[in-house]
Amino acid sequence: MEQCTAEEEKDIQCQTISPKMMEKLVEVIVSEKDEKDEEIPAYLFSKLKSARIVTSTGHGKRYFRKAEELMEKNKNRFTPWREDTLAKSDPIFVRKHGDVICELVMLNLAADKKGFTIINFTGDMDEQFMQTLSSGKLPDD
Amino acid sequence: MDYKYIEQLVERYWQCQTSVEEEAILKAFFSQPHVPEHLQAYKAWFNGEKLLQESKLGGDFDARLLARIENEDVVVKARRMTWPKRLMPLYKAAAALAIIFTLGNAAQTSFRHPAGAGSDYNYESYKDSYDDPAMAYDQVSDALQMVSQSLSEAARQDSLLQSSAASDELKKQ
Amino acid sequence: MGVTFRAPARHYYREMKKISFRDDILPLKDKLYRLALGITFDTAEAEDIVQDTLIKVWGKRGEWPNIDSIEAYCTTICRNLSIDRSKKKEAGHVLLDESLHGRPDASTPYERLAAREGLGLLQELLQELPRTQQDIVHLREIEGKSYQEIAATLGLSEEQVKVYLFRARQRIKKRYTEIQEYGL
Repeated sequence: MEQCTAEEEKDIQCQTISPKMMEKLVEVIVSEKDEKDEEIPAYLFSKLKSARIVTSTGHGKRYFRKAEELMEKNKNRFTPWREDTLAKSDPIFVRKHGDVICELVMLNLAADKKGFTIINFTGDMDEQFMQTLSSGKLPDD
Repeated sequence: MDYKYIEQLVERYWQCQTSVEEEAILKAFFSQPHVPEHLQAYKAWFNGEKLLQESKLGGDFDARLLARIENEDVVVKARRMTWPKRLMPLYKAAAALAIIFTLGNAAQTSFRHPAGAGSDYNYESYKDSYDDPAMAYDQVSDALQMVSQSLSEAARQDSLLQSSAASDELKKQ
Repeated sequence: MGVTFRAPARHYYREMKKISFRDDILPLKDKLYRLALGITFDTAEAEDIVQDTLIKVWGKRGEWPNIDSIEAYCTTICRNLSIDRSKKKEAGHVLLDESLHGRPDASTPYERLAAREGLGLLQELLQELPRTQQDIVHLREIEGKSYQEIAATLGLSEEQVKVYLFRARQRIKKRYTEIQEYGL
């Protein structure tokens, strides 16, 4: 990524949500509970510590490949979430310590092959968190 | 013409002795174009109330309202489905840092801190892109939604794979 | 396809008839319009207020199961919006709305003028009344409700309703005859 030309870097954006902002955000959810009922449950937000979202609208394929290479290079830190899935288009990597997933990275290449996204969460996630995220159902449903 | 009946009604009206039907009679009377001089004083009152009573919304009201509501919902849906490229300042420096930090520096840190410490995250360097928690909420929401879709799609494909493998097994028998 | 998150099951859903916007709330529009019009005396403003009221209520649809009377809820919002917006208008300035005044009964220019001024006066007089009396006058004169119905809506006794209405009408009678005598 350090090798990106200045031109390429122009279309990259990074949105950062720090741990402090994440806390404020959870307060917002709690106070506006009734309007947010049909959206993502507070439970999921409460497991996150920070979020970083990197997007670009161009050169998607190139960034995607580079990102994949980097993840491969850092396989000590990041392991693929599921080895045996067919869905290679949105690879998800996690960093675990014990049962806790302290970091999650997802790479996405848009359908137009130009847009590219990295989603990066840190937090206190676990198997149940992933289950909930995947199924859309809360644990006590 | 004898207005005695009306005059009596008016007096009883001020005394709150009239029924709803009688009050309707009064309103109808006072909405006529020609009201006798001696009763003119109250015309504005009865007529005004009648006008208000009969006021209705235009025929296109419903359509306009529902269009507004539907637009709101569409906006909400769009927020969930598309990747947001909002009117947010471009943090170019942060962008470069973020990519490096997220992926590039991992090589260094994984040697010094074997996965066991959540404390190797340098949150001090996290510069918030948003001042408003509601906007931050939107972003994180969309991010979660995106991961969710990817996971559920993978799960769906897995189950397809499993069921086709199972049916293959059955065929073999 | 992605998943859609459902509302958490830990919510307690009342076993009530589910309130439908189209069937239960939208039909209130004319009533709300008359209410807004009785306060603002401006057809365009009143229509905006009804739109905004209904949009606001729609936005709070998560709360509908918890509301005892959806009609009272809508009415309250509408009333508050109407008062807010009519306050924002300059003191003493009454909007003369042609569409409201251009009725067949006002046939000559003089009569039309008289009708216009009549409504302005009406608005002023109503605003002079205490709020409860205003509500009662509105429910009786415009909605044609019985004393019993008014009492139930406002949480008063029938006796109280009669007394308040009496005071309101006496006051209005007095003001109109004053105007007649002093030729205002």
